[in-house]
Amino acid sequence: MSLLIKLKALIYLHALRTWRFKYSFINSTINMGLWMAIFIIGALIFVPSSEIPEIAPYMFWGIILWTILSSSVWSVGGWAWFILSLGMYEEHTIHNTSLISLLSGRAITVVTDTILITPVLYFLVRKLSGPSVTYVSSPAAILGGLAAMFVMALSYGLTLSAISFRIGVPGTLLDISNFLLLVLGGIAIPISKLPEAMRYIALVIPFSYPSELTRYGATGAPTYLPLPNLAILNIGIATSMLVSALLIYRRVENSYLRKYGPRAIGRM
Amino acid sequence: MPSSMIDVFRAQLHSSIYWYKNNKWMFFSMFLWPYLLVGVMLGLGALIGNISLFSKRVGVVDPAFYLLSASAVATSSVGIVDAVAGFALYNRWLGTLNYIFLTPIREAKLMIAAGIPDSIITPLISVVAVAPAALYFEGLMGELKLTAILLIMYMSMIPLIGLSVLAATALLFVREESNIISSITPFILLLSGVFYPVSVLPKALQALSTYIPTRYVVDAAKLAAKYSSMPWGWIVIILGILAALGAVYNGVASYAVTKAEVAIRRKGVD
Repeated sequence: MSLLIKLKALIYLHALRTWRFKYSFINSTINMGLWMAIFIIGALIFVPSSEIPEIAPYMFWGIILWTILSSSVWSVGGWAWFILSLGMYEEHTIHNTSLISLLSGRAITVVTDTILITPVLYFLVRKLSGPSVTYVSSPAAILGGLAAMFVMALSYGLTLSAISFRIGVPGTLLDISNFLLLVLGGIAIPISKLPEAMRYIALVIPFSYPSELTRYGATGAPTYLPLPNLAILNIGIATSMLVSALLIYRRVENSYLRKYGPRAIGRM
Repeated sequence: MPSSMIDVFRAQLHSSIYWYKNNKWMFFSMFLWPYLLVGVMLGLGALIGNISLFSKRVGVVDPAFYLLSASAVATSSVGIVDAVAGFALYNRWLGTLNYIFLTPIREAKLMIAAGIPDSIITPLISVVAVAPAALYFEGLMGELKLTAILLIMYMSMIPLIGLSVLAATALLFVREESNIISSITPFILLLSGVFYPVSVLPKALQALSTYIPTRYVVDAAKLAAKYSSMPWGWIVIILGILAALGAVYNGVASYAVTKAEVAIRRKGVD
C-alpha cells in the first residue's frame, strides 16, 4: 500500500472518528480547559498582583505547551486502550496495518484540541492579567517551539503506549511525570528562573528546549542557551525521539505482540 | 433469583479488587497522585510567587497540610465520579450493559451499588497516601484531622453518587459509546476551589458552587488547616449541608433512572 493511500486512510479514519464522537471531542477540549483553569487560578494565587503581567505570558504558553504534551499522551494512550477494549487490535493486524500508523493519526486530534483550547486559555489568562500584556514577540520562534514540542510529545506518547502494550498497563497511567514536567521540565517557568540544581534536571528533560524557544517567541527575553544552539537542539532532539519511538514500537510489535498478542481482556 | 444491592456491591468489590491486583502499577500510582498535585502547586507557586501570600489569600496557617488534604479530596472526587459514571460507560464499550440491565434489580439500585466499592476505596487510598505527610507536618493531630476529612469525604460521596448517576443516565441517551462526561470532574473541582478561595471565581460560579458537595469537603480541609484542633461546630454544619444535598441529588437521580429504565427496556442500549 502506498504512503499516500495510508495517509489518506489515516486522515479519513481520525476525521470520521472525530465527527462520529463529536460530543466526546468537545468534552475532551472542555475537560482540558477546566483542568488548566484550576491550575492557572491556583498558581496565580501565589503571585503578588504587581508581578502578574510578567508571569502571565510564561503561564499562558507554558500551559499551551503542557496541553500539547498531555493531550498527546492521553490521546495516544486512550486510543490504544480503546482499540484493545473493542478487540480491534487483532482486526488491524490481520489486515497488515501497523499499530504505530494507526496511533500516529491521533496527531490530528491533538492539533485540533490545541487549536480549540488556545483562545479559551488566552481569554482566561488575559482576564486575570489585564489587557496590556504582550503574548507574541516572534511568531516564527513560537511556531518552531510548538512544532518541536508537538513531535516530541507525540513520540513520548507513542513510546509510553508501546511500553503499555508490553506490560499491560494503560499508557496514560504510566505518565505520572506529566504534572511534574510543568515545573521540573521548565515548561511553565524559564530555566534561568529555576534554582541551580533544578536547572540541570530541566536541561536533561527534552521538553524544556521547545519551551525555551516558545518563551523567547512570546516575550523576546534572552534564552538560557544561545538561540542558534537552542534551535539545533530542538530539531535534533525531536528527530531522535521520533526515531526512537518508531524503533521501540516496531520491536514491541514484532518481537512481542505478533507472538503473544496484547495482554488485555475487555479492560487493559 | 432476585439480586439485591448487596449482591451487586459484593460483585463489584470483587471485580475492583481483582482489577487493582492485575494493575499493580495503577494501584501504586494512586498513592503518588496527591503528592504530584501538591508538588506542582507548591513548586510552581514558590517559583513564581510566594507561599505566605497563598496562605494569606486562602486563609490557612499550614499551606502544605491544606494542599495535601485538598489534593486527596481532588483525587477522591475524580475516583467517585469515575466509579459511578464509568460503570455504565465501560460496560457499554464492552457490550455488556444490555445484559447487566436485564438482571433482576432496578437500574437505580444497580448503578448506585456498583459505584460504591470504588467510591470507598479511592478516598481511602488518597487519605492513606497523604497520612505520612500529615503526620510529619502536624503530628497526631494531623492524622485526626485527616480521619475527620475522610469521614466528611464519605459523607460527600452520597450526593456525589447521586450527581454521577444523573450523569451516567444522560450518557445512556447520547448515541456515543465514549466518555462525554469526564469534564464533570474538573468542573466540580473548579467550583470547589480546591487550590484557591471560591471568592476569586465570578459571582455566578460562586453561587453555583454552593450546590457542589466537594466544596464543603474542601471547606472542611481549609478549616482543618486553619485551626490547631478540629472546629467541630463547623463540621456539624457541613455534614448537615451534605446530608441535604445527598437527599436532593439522590432523589432526583432515582427519579431520572426510573424513567430511563423504562425507555432502555423498550429501546435497548445503542
